[in-house]
Amino acid sequence: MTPLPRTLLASLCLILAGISSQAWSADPAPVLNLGLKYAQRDAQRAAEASQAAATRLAAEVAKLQAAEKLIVDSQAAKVAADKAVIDTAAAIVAAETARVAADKTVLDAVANAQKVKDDAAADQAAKDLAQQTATTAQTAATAAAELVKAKQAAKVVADTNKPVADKQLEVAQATLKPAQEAKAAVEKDTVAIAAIAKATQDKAAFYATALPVAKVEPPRLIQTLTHTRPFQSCRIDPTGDFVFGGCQDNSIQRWDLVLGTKVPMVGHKSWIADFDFQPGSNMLISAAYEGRVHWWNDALTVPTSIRNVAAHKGQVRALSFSRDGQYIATAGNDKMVRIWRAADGALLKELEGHTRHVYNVAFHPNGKHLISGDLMGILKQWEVESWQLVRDYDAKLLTGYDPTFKADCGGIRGIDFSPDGRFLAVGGIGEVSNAFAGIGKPMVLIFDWVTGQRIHVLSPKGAFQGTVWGLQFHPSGSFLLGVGGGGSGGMWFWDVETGTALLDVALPQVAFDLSIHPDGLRIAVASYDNSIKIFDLGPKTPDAAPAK
Amino acid sequence: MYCSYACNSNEHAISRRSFLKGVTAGAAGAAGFGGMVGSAGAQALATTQKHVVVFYLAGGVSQLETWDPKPGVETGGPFDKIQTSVPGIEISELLPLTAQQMHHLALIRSVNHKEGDHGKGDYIMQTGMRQAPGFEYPYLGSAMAKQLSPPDSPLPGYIHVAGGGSKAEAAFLGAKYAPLSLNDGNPPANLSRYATLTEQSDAKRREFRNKLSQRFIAGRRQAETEVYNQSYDQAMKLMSKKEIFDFNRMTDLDLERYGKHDFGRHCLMARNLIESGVTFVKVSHSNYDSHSENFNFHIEQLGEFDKPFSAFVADMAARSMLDNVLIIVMSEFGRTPNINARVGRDHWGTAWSICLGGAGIKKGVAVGKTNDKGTAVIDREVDGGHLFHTYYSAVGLDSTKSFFDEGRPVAKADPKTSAITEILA
Repeated sequence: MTPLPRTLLASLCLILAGISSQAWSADPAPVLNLGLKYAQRDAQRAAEASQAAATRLAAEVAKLQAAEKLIVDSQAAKVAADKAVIDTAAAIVAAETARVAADKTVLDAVANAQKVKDDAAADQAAKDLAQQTATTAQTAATAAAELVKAKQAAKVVADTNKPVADKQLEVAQATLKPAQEAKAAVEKDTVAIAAIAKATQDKAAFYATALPVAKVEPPRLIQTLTHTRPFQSCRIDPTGDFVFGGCQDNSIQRWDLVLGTKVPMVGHKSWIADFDFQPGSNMLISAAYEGRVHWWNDALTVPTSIRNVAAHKGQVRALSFSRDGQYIATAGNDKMVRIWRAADGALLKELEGHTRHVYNVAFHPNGKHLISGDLMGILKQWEVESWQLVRDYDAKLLTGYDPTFKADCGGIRGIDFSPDGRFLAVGGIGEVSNAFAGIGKPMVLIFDWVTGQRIHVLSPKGAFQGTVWGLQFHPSGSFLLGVGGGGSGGMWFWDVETGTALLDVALPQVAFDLSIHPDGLRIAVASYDNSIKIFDLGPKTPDAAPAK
Repeated sequence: MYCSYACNSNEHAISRRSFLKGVTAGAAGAAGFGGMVGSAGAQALATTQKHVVVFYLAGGVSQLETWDPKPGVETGGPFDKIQTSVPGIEISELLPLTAQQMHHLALIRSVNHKEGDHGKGDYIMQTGMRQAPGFEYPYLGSAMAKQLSPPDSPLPGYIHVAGGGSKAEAAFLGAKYAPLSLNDGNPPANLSRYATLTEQSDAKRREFRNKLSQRFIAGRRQAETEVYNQSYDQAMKLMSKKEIFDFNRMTDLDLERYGKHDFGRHCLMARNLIESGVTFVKVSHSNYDSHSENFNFHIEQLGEFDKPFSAFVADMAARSMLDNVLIIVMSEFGRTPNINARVGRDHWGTAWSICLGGAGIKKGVAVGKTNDKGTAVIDREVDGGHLFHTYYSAVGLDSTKSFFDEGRPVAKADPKTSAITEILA
């Protein structure tokens, strides 16, 4: 019997599977040449941040100078106030002395006038003069008394002004330290950002000399972004500017990949299971084990939860945005796959068929189909819009019943499509010998999308016990990357075309998820050790030549 | 912590082994029925006889996913707590149906027996004592069978549904207080007389065997021989009560309420056995030793536990049996507050919980407390000794009395401890 040509066989399979061969066309694997573009973007953002930091520093310097001037002015005011107090006190003493002298003059003049008046020999002119002198002395004494009062009033004013001046100086001095600290902090940031800007510029310049290529080699750890609890999930946003981590403290933490700044997104009540970005927008959708899904506006600027819905009874395990951004598919422990309208959160359809917890869900790149996978290793293919079941795939190698522990173990932990849509990869744990200790082999199954047939069963090159928790095709389509672990962590590279394990990389801790940067070079890994780690598959920027 | 379970300990093996010796029709196989309690007519629960049912969650159920949830803290895991039928008492969201029965139940949230080994933890929880070299304490089931079973009951005093069991559990109390194991929930083998054996022939065979036994005993009287003959008598009497093992009589409604899975059927068996007059029934549910994926496995296992257990409690209450039936939900230990890299929890005997209910137990109370992260007991710490004094007191027995092993007194419960009076009605 002559074997059917492969293309004819594929066509027959399509027909049998109810799929129109016109429904989608696979693009050839894109030539990934985005390393330079994103390096330049990073350099530009860093330069802008550096400029902004310099502006902030100038403002802080001005604030510090103003504070210092205020202190100088306040010190002068205080000196003047202190002097006024002393001067007014001395003036009072002098005025009082003058008043005493004037009073004595009055007494003498009055006595003399009386004496002259009583002197029969004195003529009227002498009497008038004596009286005039006494009157003048009285006037002078009155003036001296008034001067004493004036000097006393002046001292009251000086005494009042002194504590005000003291307080002003105290306030001025109190502003100095914060101003100095703020300036120092901004100065430190400015220096750091300037260094980042320099490094990103150097990297962009280096990439410009030779376009970087992601190599299947042990990647370099280039960033460790730490928090307080283990991370369950992670995604790098489509702009490549941020990485989002879903944490066991029920928060999502967003880091700027260039600057390293962190912004928390709080709203969920349980561990963050999964999230995805609406294509072409600034919207992020997240799902958590409390069963709710959150819509976050402005995820790349100031993330705000604008809506949350009770999506599943029990845990939501996974979600996926349709390629056109219209639909969100969610999968949960209530055995359901649900379709939501992204625009308003309306429930559009419930897809029934799974008999156990649904662990994962993903839209095909063609935009026409959806895949969901459950604990029992059953994959279901649904047609978008009609939401009819097209066919099932058998991924039962990723599950098993442990008769000792009397429990099912496994499920579809990682899922992804190749960029050209030809391959479906699902990962988890296979060949389980001890379910409750997690003793089994990390395993990935590769399905041919056209025929629906499983074409490869992949595992690490070396002996390893654990689970593939996260799975993603490289954007070039040239290899598949998985992360996971058991007693320790691992990152694994496979050639999907040939079904070959290419590289095993030991990680310091178990990794629960990964996300490949759109530059195809950087990899974010959600780690048990409270961190998101950023690895780099690209070439290392040469160290600057030492100064001569 | 190394998992000695994967580790071939006996506790791990119970689900794979059967110690059932089986009942025999006629004389041939009766020797294996040496675990039967003395003989005579069954009494239903219309009497005031006390009974005990233990739900044994093998492998060590997590207290944080059951009776002492701590949502929101780093040790809390992903699950929330829910309100129960008792205001102020909250348990894990994984037990929504049990939560509705909390007004019949009570919690002890402060168990610390300091043991992280399966076998040793199991021994403490089932004997109330730590293992002592060269000496075996009787298990709770054997002790209760001896002290609570009517003297002439034709029924086994201690039945273990689906979980193994051993004659060794009876220790010095004697083999007749050892558990009768219903392997995988199946009735004892050979309950009916062989079809080819007529009643008359069977009677003749028994008569002949008795004659031989009497001749043998006349010259060599010893305890083993008495037990051997007693076993034959017990087996014959039990054969007359074989209907209590006719689990085919379970109604569709009951099966629907309890669940059609093994554990649902086993809980329904427990109800039927208690109603038939059996003193002590232990139902094992395997397995909770979740060093990996603790949360996924607890969803699965507790999802299976919640429905039949809550149905059992509801039935006991509806049938006015709670005053006479002590309900205990226990494990060999709890699980670590720390969540390991496999998203699992390991062995933990330091601060964990059990659930009680029914005979002699206050309804709707929670005794003891752990700290915010569940890493230590901060109020009313208890161990196996306290628990055994409490069990004894709950069913009206004096726990300060002793058993006697060949004349030597053996404390029924650790004399250094006492009953948890706050939980006793």
